[in-house]
Amino acid sequence: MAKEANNPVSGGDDFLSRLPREVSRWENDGLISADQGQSILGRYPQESTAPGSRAQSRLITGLSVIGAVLVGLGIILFFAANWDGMARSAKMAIIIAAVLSGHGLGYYLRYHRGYLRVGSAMVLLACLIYGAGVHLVGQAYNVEVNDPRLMLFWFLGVFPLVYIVRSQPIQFLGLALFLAAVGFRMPDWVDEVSRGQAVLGLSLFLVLGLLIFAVGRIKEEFNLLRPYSESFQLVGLITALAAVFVLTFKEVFDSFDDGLYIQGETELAFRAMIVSAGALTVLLVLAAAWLQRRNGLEFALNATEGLAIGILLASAYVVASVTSGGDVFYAVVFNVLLALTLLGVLVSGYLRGREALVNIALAFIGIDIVARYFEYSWNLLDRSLIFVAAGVILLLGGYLAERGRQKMLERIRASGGSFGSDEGSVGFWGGPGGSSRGQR
Amino acid sequence: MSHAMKIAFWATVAGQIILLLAFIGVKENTLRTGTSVLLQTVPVDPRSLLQGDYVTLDYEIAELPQSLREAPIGETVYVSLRKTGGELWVSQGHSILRPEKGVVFIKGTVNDRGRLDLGLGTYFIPEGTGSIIERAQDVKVRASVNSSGSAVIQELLVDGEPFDPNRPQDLPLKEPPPRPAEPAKPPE
Repeated sequence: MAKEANNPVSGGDDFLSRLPREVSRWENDGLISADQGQSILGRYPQESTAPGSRAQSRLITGLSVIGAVLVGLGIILFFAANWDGMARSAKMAIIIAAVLSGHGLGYYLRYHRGYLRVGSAMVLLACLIYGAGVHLVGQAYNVEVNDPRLMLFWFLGVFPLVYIVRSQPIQFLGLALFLAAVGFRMPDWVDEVSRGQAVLGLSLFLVLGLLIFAVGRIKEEFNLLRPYSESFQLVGLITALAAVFVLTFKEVFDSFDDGLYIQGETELAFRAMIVSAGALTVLLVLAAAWLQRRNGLEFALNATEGLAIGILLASAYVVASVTSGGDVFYAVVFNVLLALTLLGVLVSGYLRGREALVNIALAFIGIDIVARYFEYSWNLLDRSLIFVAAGVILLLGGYLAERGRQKMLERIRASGGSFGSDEGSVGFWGGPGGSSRGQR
Repeated sequence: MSHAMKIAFWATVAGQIILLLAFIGVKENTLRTGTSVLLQTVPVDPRSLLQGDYVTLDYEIAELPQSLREAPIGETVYVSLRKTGGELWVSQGHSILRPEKGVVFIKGTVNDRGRLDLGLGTYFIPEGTGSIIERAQDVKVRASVNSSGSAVIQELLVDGEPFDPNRPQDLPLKEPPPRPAEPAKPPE
């Protein structure tokens, strides 16, 4: 019994739920510094508890986040129905009161009562209400519906909380808002008439995805920033893979015959943005590799990853710059790039012991197979035959993928594969252990 | 949570509120202190996922003169306004130079359709009331324009009357009010 009391991990979820509150008290009492507090929290990731408590934690996080999102969506839809029965000043007062109440309740639950997940979900809800508030103000004053400032204001208001509240759902929201803010700003940079906007947008999102991934990768090297690494890598990877996937369709490149699609000074600014984001990405990946120079496998993986990212960045710059060329050629190149990238992610996930990388790669492989099948068979075969064959391929593919995935994950688990999570939520990477870097 | 992080948390919350209030303040200031102008418009009726039903408005003054047709997308163009014999305001001229003090003008940017975005292109309406505007024969916008050329919509006039979402949608259409005679434009 005494032995168990001395072993905090054996205390399970109860201990882990109390730990951040205790650490906060120790910090307030001056017993430990903020850095030491972060290091202590980093030693006891949620993932290292028993499987039962992990499942329970995931359930609580899932329920809380779904609850927050549903309430947030309801509020947004309520405003969307144009709240015309109420004076403008009353609407503004209600939205400000709702934002303050959400944050206040979230703060109280998370930091005073120690309900990390529900508290984080309340802060997430307050962020959603704040976004609804920005759009309500836009609605009340008839601001242009696609005004990029609306998403920018939402992003600016939420992003600091990504680093203040160690909660993955808020990190995902912050990153999604960043990408949305860029997406809404895109039409100002690119000629909307040209279908080339799709190619330019995809090249920009490919670069941004890789940049976000690289930022996540470098964060992993520092104890203090590690809790913010996982979500960045995940969002960055999915964004970049999604951009490359869409670029595999030759229809995307049809616009290459239309000529230039960026005008005058905007062209220079757009290219400068892609080049500077790409350069920063390369710098971060190289720095991550350098920091792991004493770890042979990790260094080799980082260097290979850097090379792959460099090739993808170059491809993004080429499609953003070259305005002529065969659509088939580009589609073939991006199909090859996607196949190699997915293979790389799969191998990296296996060697690093990260389930999420394996799952993401397999999901994209599945989507790609289905897309290619429909792309090439639609005009060749009878429709009914296409669907029957597609069903058979999916069932067979699902069986093979599941069997391969199970074997791979068993090997990962057997080798103690991992990735950490933050204190307020459960990691999305999966794996039974804490941060592999932290254990080194 | 350290003391610094507590401060950062509440500072961010304060930042959100300040952003909202600043956004409101700028618009309210334009509404309260700007010059009220009535503009001729042409509506269509889409829907915003986040904000609900709205009408997209295009304006007669958004059409660029021949001399500015080649202006690049995003270029700022100033539209000087003058009042006609009635209540309506029309373009006195388009220029990439800011008009002199005392002239009422709206600032716009060239869009991808070779017309001007004046910041007055959206008017939000209660759900399901778009057909009132669709059936109207004349739609005008009363907007408030501040001294820097930024404008905020005050009200939408449908067939000469302020937009009423409760107006029966199956009523026979009214005759639109007569449009004021267009005085001769001074040479640009």
